[in-house]
Amino acid sequence: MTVFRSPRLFPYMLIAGVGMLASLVLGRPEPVLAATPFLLVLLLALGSPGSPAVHVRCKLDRQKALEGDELVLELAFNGMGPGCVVTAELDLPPGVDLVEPPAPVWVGRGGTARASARVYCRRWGAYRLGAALVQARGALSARVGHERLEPSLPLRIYPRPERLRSLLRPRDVQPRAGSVLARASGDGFEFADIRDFLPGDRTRHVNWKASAHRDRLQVNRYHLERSRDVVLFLDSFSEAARENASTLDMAVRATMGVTERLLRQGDRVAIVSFGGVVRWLQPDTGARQLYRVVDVLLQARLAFDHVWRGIDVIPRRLLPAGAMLVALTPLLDRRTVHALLDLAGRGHDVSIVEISPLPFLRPASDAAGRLAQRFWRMRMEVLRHEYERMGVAVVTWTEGSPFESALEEMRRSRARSRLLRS
Amino acid sequence: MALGELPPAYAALVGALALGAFELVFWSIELRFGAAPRIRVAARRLGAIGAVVAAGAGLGLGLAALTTLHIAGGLLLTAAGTAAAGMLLALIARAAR
Repeated sequence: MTVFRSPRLFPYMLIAGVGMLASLVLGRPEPVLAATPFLLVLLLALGSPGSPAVHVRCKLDRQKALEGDELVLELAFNGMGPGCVVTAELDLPPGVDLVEPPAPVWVGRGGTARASARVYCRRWGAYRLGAALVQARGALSARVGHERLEPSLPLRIYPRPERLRSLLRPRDVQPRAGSVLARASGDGFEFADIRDFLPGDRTRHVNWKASAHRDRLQVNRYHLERSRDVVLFLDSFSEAARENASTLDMAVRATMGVTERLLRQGDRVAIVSFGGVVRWLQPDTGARQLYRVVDVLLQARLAFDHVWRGIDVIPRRLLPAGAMLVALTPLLDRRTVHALLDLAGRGHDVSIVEISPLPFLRPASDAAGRLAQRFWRMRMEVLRHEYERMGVAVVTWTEGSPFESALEEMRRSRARSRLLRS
Repeated sequence: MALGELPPAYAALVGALALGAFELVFWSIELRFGAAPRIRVAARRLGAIGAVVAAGAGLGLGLAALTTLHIAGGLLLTAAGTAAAGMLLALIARAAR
């Protein structure tokens, strides 16, 4: 702990010196008597043995939290010198806000004390907390010990997932049991239709009522229940952002919601974070995959670069046959736009949720700005039309509206693009 | 009554009160940039300020009583002032080091 003397000792020194000098020059006792208390403080401050020093330990009540949670950061102080008042000024990372700072505490010689601060998890991400400037002041605050603590407490703030009730139906299903009704009939639970009995049919599938009505044996047919492979394509090339929100935040929350829902239903999920740094995760199912996806999401950061990247950087095994690719993007970067066109051109089942950057734009202040925004909107219209012509469903998701409604619109859009393709 | 005609004891009291005012002002500046302390911590600081003000006033009054005795025609005061100045210079040198 580095010890400094309080800056107020200098004016005290000045007052005491001037008082004594005036007393000697004027030959009167009053100036030195008025300066005596200041002199006393100086003598006590500079002459006292030992300097305030404390040993500090930080502890966070949880290492994992959801956006919007409040955490308690506890600071434990051990007195290493004379008694002192200890204050800690926390230096928090940008996604974490201070709700209640730690109150100053008194730490006696060899004693212990605790102070706690409450912090608010504002934005998802992986952070390190614990950076602080700790100051220990003696009784008269004449000597101040400073210590800067390095961040040492890992904290993972998970994005709060968008709530979803239903998901998109894929063009093709995978040959594994799941919860998606396949067009083909077989052993399932959902009734499909009735047909004539054929040798080999199970007798428990015989529909006795229909058989009596038609006077020949009829059997019920059921829909197969299959699983789906979904590749979530997260655009981390660019974002439109405001102080507390961005299109990337929206994309991450939606990805989290879709992943949770899919994995709960036994589907396989893969993820590609397509940006300056390309990260991916192979398709898999189960609770462990959710944690892996969260890891990829927490590392999803904007990394600006100008290197051209196409879909050749995405491993082929990441896009299994029949997988549905859902892209969450503001469609601001040409590399993403071209990559999605490429994927659609290669026959993949691509759907795009365009996260509208419009709410994040500042209103144009002059005619040129308004014209530029009109041109940009027209360009986006053309781009959407081009995607739709290739059979890609595109929906726009605007900040403030639920993701569920964007998915509902996507269902209709996919049906329309299926018709266009056929 | 002119300032120079005040008894020396008043000067000691004025000095102690000025010190108290300075301490409170500096403390309020410290508080402005940090979190509010709990009552016990604040009471401890207030107690320390009160104690130093009382000690300063006591010391000043003691010295004032000595000067009123006119011991050696004020020589004692001059000697004490010189010693205090020397001590102060030594302390300044130590602080600077």
